[in-house]
Amino acid sequence: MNKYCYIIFFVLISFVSSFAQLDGFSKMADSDSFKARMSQEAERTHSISSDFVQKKFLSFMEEEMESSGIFKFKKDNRLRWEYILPYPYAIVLKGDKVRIKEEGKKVNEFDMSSNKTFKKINDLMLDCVRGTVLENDEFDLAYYESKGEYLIHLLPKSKEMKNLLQNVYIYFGKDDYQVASIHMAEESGDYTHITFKNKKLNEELGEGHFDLK
Amino acid sequence: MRSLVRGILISSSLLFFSVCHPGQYHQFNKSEIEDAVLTPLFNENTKSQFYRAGMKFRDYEFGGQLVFRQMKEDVFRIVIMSEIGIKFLDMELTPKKRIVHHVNDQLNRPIVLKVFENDFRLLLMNDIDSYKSSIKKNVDYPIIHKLRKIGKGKRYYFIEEDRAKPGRIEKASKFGNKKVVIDLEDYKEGVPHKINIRHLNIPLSLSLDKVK
Repeated sequence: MNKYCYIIFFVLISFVSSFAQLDGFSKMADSDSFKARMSQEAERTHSISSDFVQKKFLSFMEEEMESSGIFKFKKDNRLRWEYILPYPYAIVLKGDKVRIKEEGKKVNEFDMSSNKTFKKINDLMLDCVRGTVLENDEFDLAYYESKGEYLIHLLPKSKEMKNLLQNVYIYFGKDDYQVASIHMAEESGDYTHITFKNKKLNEELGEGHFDLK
Repeated sequence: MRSLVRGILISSSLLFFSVCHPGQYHQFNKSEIEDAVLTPLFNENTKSQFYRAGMKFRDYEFGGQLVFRQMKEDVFRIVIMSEIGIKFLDMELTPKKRIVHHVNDQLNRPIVLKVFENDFRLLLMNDIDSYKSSIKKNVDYPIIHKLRKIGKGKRYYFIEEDRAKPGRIEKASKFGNKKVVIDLEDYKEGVPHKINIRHLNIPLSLSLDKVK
């Protein structure tokens, strides 16, 4: 009996969570135009710098865990994801190489192919920021829009990805077609929500931004 | 991660064939303090405890976050996740049961889950009522709680003079071989800000730094 109660509870949580993310959105009227415009914007975006705020919700905790930092992206595959609060931590992706810098520790470097989970999540993040998420074949996509935003709902196809994330929602500004926020929901109802602020496009970003010492 | 799991499996298997030798705790004397009570680590604080986690297995290093949340007096929820919030492990420990709410495919091995369970039970002390306790002392520590349980080996909680919480925790086999050492430092308001868990028979360690 308990087992069935758990299943019903998690189905309800996922159902309610889906509605919360889609609240105020309707099916996109012309998704082909959106895809074409996304492709154009991805083509003309060479670099992005932005601040971000990340909120992690765990259903058994009374408060969200908040962290913040900066991220920098340079075409094709350079990404710097740097936390400043609550503690400094930086991760740089350069092709298949990952470098991590933690406070007081030497830089740790490894090959992304050695960690499948890490690769899947980073591919997703990279696809989100460079606008190529529509080509990610790990997910089925559904398109929505509101007055000010576009929303792509990503449903994982593989069991492995479903084990990590139940639903991913990516919000794009209607003015610039850039990612405004990402919502990654898990089966349990726990989620991570990342909001991007103070975005700067196509600034000159030297290689030094993607080196960690 | 696969090498981590394989390594833990091999190391754990080797334990079955390890040679027994005399115990390492014979330098203890019986303490004059007979009524000291062992206080569980987070019993005074029901809030979530948020730590930065660093796990090392051989040359493989993993960084992330760890949350301890006391759900009831002796029930804890433990979550290990990446910096970006992707959960690797979500485990609940009651005094007698382990409930795995979520585990990443790569960690989903019985031996790996058992290692985490044993380490967290040793640290959180939510099952100590089922152990037989006695009090010892040595040159460094005036109070050492020695806990014994048939088939479970021995645990030692080393209490420094100026506080009721342990500065060191050790786990030994029933033959007295030290297996796990936990150092707890930098206590603030009864909560350790630095925790270092070291396995002596597996090249595995976990360091936790409290996030302010």
